[in-house]
Amino acid sequence: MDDLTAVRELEADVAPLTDEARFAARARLRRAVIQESRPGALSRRLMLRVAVAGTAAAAVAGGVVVATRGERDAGTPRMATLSAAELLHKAAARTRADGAGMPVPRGDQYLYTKTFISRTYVKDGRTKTWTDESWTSVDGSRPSRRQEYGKVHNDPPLGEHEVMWPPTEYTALAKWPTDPDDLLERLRMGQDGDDRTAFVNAIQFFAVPRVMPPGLEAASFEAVARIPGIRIDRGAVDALGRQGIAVSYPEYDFAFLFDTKTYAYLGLNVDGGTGEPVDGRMKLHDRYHELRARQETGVVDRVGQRP
Amino acid sequence: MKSTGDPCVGDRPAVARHDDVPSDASVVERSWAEPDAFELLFHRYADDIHRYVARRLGPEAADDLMAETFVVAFQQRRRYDLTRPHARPWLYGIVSNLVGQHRRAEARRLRALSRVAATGSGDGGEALADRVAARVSAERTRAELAGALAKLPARYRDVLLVIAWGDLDYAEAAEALGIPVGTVRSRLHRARTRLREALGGSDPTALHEETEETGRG
Repeated sequence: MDDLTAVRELEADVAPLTDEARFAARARLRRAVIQESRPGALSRRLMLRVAVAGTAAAAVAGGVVVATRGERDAGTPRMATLSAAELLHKAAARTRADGAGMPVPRGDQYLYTKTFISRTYVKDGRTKTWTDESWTSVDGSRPSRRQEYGKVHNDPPLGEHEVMWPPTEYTALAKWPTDPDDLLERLRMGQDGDDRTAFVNAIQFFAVPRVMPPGLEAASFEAVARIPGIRIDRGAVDALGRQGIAVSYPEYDFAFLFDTKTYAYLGLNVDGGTGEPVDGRMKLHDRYHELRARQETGVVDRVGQRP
Repeated sequence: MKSTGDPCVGDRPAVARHDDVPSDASVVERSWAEPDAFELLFHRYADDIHRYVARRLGPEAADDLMAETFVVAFQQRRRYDLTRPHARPWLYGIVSNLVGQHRRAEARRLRALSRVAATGSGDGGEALADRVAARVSAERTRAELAGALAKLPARYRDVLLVIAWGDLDYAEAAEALGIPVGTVRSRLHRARTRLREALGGSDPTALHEETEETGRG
């Protein structure tokens, strides 16, 4: 008998997973999920302070996708005629004008981020807020501390064969194209015309903190501007109560959020929900609308240090 | 860390296109904002991973390590390389690490398997119907195989078993174990050579040189 076949047959009649063990294992996974999303003591204290901003977000959350064309004051008529692509170009110009706001991080440093999250449930308008502070090792060689919905996670350094993609390391990002067409190609990952992948990757670019080399952030917005199907969702207010305008892609949960007046990038919009798998798909209930505002970023030398 | 450049570009799409069933990568990505979504991966692969551990360490250990695999995977989901549409190799990488912490238990199990079968061959003293003889012969093969597996260096056994039992291809095995594809090929080749020697007994002395290695690499 062929040796590989013999190995394949060895222990082939092993006992299958019992329902009991499956249930216990799923319960363990659920515990891990709940532990992660349960707000820690820190965010509970902060919740009071941020309640006001949260209320503002709640007021608009239900109507985010509905255009409020012409109904707003100060500059709204101008905004009403702005296309998603035009908005992105303005955002690109804005970030170019801002110039090098951040110092170039060394691989052994940390990116500090403070994110304000406001989540409003669609059904009853309940609002939850978190202020998350994270310290991410720039090249992944050091342990990182990540706060998610209030809970602190200590992430070990990347393993020998683990990488972050898109990269977080400045030296790697410096090799990325700053020409919007080339960058779009990169974000499509070689899949010709795969617009959804490109949009998803562009979102990723901002969801995970990184310091962009000059021109890359602007090029990202311009690359997104070239994606057919992007659209504007007006009337968004970010978690800090700033007037925002979102750029989204059909049937994708994450959207970019920009300041209505300055076109500065504010953060991300997320439409989500808690749910459970039914027939291999997630059946969502308890839908919510979440605004993740980039409140502060900086480069520091160690975990716990603030810029 | 290895270059974080873009070796994956042009390789595979990051997430499913808008098909009915979302890819593993898109499930992982979704779970970033909606941790509950991760349960989909559990539904897809719990049986698979459990069976793999059960074959390596036995059913009781499998109950525990399968559960642990998904908890670890969940906690590490932000490191998932979204350019990989299938999560199986990633999960096999995690479970291989966990199994690696139980090398002694695995060796004990394999030695027990080789002994059970070896005593089984003693039944041959009774009436030797052909059927019984065939069974005895199969059991002897099993015993020799288990014995040979026990003697394989751990790094060879990992490669051999994620391929033979985990049904990973070479590229997936490389991804799971974090080694180059060339190394997968050479380790598999060496593992199979040793198994053939053990089964065919062409050079029994060769086996004695292989004491079990606990190191990885």
